[in-house]
Amino acid sequence: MGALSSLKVVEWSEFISGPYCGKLLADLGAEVIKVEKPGCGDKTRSYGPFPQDMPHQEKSGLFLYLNTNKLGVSLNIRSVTGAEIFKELLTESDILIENHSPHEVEELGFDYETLKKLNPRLVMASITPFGQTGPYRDYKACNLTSFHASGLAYLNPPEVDDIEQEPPLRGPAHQGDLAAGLNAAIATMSAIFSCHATGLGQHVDLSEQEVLASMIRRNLAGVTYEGITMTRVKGSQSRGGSVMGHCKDGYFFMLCNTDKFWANWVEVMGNPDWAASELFQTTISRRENWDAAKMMIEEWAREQTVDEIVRAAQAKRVPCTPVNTVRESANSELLADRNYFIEVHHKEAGKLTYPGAPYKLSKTPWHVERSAPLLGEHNEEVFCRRLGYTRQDLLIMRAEGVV
Amino acid sequence: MNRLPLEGIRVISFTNGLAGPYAGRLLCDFGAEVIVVETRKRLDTFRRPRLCYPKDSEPDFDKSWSWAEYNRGKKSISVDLKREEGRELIKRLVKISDAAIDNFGARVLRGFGLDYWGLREVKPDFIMVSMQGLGQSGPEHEYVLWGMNLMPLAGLTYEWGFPDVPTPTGSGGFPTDYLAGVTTAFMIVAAIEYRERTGEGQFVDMAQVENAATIMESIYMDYTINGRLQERRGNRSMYFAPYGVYRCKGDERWCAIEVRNDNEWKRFCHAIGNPPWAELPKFATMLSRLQNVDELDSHIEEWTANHTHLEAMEILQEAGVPAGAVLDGENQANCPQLTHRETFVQIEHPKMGIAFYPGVAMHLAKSPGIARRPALLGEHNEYVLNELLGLSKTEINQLVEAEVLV
Amino acid sequence: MTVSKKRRNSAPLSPYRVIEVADEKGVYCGKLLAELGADTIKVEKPGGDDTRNIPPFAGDDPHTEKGFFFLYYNQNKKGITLNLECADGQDIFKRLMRNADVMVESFSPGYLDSLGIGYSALNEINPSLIMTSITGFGQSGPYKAYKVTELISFAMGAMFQCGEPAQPPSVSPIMMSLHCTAIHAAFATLIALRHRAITGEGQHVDVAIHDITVTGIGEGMASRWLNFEELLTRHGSQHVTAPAAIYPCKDGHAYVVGGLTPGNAPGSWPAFVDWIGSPDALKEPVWEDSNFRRQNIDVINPYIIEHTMKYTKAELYREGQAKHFPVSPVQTPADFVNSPQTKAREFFTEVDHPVIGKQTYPGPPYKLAVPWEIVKRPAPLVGQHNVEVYCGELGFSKEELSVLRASGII
Repeated sequence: MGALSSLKVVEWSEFISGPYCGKLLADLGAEVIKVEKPGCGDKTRSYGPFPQDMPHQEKSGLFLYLNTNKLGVSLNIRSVTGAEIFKELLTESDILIENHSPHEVEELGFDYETLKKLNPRLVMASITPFGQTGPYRDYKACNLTSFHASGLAYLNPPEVDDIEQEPPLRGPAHQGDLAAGLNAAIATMSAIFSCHATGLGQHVDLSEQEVLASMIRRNLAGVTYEGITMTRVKGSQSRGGSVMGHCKDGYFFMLCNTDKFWANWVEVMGNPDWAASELFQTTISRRENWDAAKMMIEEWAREQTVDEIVRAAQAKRVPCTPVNTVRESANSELLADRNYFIEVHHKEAGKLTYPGAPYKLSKTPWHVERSAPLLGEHNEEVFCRRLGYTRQDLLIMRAEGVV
Repeated sequence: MNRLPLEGIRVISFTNGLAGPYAGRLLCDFGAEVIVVETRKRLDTFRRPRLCYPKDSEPDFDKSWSWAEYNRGKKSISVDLKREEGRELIKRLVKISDAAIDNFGARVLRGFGLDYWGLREVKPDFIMVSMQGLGQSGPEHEYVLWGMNLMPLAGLTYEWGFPDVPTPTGSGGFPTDYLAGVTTAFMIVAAIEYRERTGEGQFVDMAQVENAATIMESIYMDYTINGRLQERRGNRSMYFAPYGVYRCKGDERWCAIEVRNDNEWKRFCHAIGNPPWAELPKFATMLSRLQNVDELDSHIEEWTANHTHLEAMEILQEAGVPAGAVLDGENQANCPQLTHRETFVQIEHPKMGIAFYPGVAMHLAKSPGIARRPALLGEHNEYVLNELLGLSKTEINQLVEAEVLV
Repeated sequence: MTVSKKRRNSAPLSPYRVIEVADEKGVYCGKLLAELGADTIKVEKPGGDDTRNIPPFAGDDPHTEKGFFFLYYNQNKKGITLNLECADGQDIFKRLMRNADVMVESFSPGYLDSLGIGYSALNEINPSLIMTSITGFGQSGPYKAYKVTELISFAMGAMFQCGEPAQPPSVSPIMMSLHCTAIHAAFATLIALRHRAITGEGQHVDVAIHDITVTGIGEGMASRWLNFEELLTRHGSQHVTAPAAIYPCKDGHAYVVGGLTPGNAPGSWPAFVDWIGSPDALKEPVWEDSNFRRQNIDVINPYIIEHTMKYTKAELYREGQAKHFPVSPVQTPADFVNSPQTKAREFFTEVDHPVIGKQTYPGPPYKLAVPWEIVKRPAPLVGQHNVEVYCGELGFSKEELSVLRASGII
């Protein structure tokens, strides 16, 4: 019994933001039926990585991860029959997750105003680049453009010498899409709570731009309170006191922006003479002379391994962590200890290692009950056993291209 | 004029009726010299007076339009294979030929020593395709079988007709013959290709019944894999509606209509003027239309009954809906598309004069085939025996008198 | 393309590379070429060809890899996915066509031209290419844009003569006109290859289902009218000679023919009368005229039926054949599969497919004296040979393959 076992979700979404929201709910036990278009399915299936680099519809690493614990059906919702079946599903569901353009959704007749008449309890989560209203509502966007539209990319990378040489940079992977999915899940659950109280669903409107912008609220506050626009220029964002440094066998990150941390860090370095200088005795003087401090710290670090530095610093309670490569994270003892990674067996892709959940629940733990669905895998279960279509009907729908 | 693709290829045709001749005609149209081995002692089915066309012609085996249609362009020799001298002549001809087609009864050429194994002695790289109903092996292969026996054996007749009528119909014609004929022509050209590279001949023992079964894949695999025996379903489909043949204005006038998806249904409704019944939910989806198919079909016939079959076809096709009038012979003769394609050509026959014949149905841009005139029975005896085999005029006359060339 | 000499000589079409982009109108053409050794690649749109959706399915499970139509007609072919509607896809297609000998396609006239990969464009790239185009009505003419399915082409070409007079005309239960045309297209392709062997030039082969049907299984309706203004109509199973029709038996039906041989020989009319019990009414000399028999078949039929109903169809087959009458049972598909003749010929073959496993399919309809070696492979899975063709032949790296996939090109 998962935490959300009583919930029925229909997920009509592609790529990352919608599916990640669906995954978060599915992994907690909600029943999530993922509706994909016949033929190619969710376009994520075309994205790698693929085992042995051989693209295969059922073996995309990204798809397998994002769609654990879901049921999968193939349905052409643009067809008359497909639209009918989609509505039948929604009538019985608590939640609809979708990430299509508002214009398209309206055109197809699946906008919230229409669907709420069908099922007043339905919570519809719509994830889009710029939200359901406003001049940009139908603009096309992706993780890259959303990152830039939010202002977050403008601040990245920080501490740059010459911003002409280093243009704004989005974050790696698809953080924007993932963050949007995560926020959608939170907002959706809130709406479910509300529905339990009032008996009515609502429309949850997620803008990815807003999600990302909310991560730079300190910087936004800088504008609104102080009239300051931070940039990537060195010193604009940082107040000194941190080092992302190169050492013998990798990189480490250390933060010592208080006197206490600084004192302990100096001990970690073995109390070098230079650290006793006047230049580095107060928070303010360290900030003013941070370049010099950093240079000396990095010189010292070059002789140390990451592990040595981190252990020593943690022993002295200085915030210091290794800068892991993906490989190092995957092999991290710490994560292994927490059973963060899990092995999932998939019908087609076989046994692979996946990231697990970023939380632990004591009573209703996260677990993978089923691997990502094959395209149309649960057509019979959902359309026949639940909605009452016959197997012959399924053949007819297949011949017509509805499933 | 370019050399025709099969020029220089000589094919001997031990054939009768439709299947074998159809194969030979395809080869002949593209330049092969196809020599039909005939005899007055046992005329080709289509030369026999009661099966000749036109019906009211004098019984003259050279005035058979049916024979002319299937054998146009070929050469004809008259040889009695029951005579040893006749068989010897054939063997000499085989020596300078490339291939042979056999659709006589299974025992016939074998009995004459003129089957593949006999002819291979004469020419080791010879190519032969036999196309008996059941092939050249198996417990039933020597049974007496005519064209109309084959569709029933193939399981095709059983599946053809209306479910509420106890007797299946089949097509009433000989589709197995055409299928076998074109497959034979295909195999001969393939075997010639193979021989040119490797020097090896080939014997293709094709069973016409099996050849028909090879395009009944769904019916057979439904049985061998799903264990299901399909039953006749008339003009209805299990998966699509509208699907069928609808009565149009006039007597025996029909138009076939098929709608495969929402888009075609929308276009169909629009083409027939968006009548109110078409808006009803019970016809809105494929599933619902199939559930209400009787009512659907009768509504559609309300519309088709007010149009000729050609009009119905034109209106629907203009709207992007698959529709085809059930054309009779006259309709086909006047079909603008067939006229455009010059599907029928006029050829002069030495005794029957000018008539229409099917032309070369496949259009090859650089090497078009040529439809040539039919031969009279034995018309090429002299050409084959004298020019090709080197017999003197005296020798030929002797053979005529001895009734070997008859 | 370079093919080893040994491979070239293993089967008639082994030296050739065929690219097939065809739907139900052309798959059988590709199959016939593949069956005789051609290295045949089927190009499907990403996600798989629509013909994979044609029922029935193994186990009635509508699955991309389980449709009988696709499984059967695509044996011996390799399968790749390619989106022809995008510029990258068209570029890749052109690269593939550089080394191709034959292309089989069944798109509406003009569609490939609109994508820049029609005959004239491909001919520039590869003048020895043979493009075989199979359409309902041909590349030009007033009906060239007409939509065609088996029902439509059969209706226009042959249906008027099919069925009982008292019933509507009857459509064929299989895709007869389509597949019959495909065989003609395969034949025409070989002719074009011969022309190329002589002249070095490729060409465009234009095959229309309507032409083939009217001049073939249309059974001469058009030419009868053109030449004699005679209208051929439906006559059930009754042949122009008599008796020759379907008759009922104890457990089904049989096709019974009598009177085709002259005189009193086996198979003749007198012999037939004798076989069915010598009814006096049929002993009159007037019955010896086949035309008379045909016109008065209703008089003869009850006697025949009384006789045939005494037997099962298998018994009637044996008895009739023993007396040299062309009798054949109206076999059900089960009868045909299980008949000793079919079994002796080993017509059905076993094919092993990665998804549906080892199953029984109809096999090639012939036996060969000289063994032609043909690689026997089952129908391809979606994109099964993408790596082999794109990486192995066209030189894409694995990373590039992922890029192509991600943008929906393959």
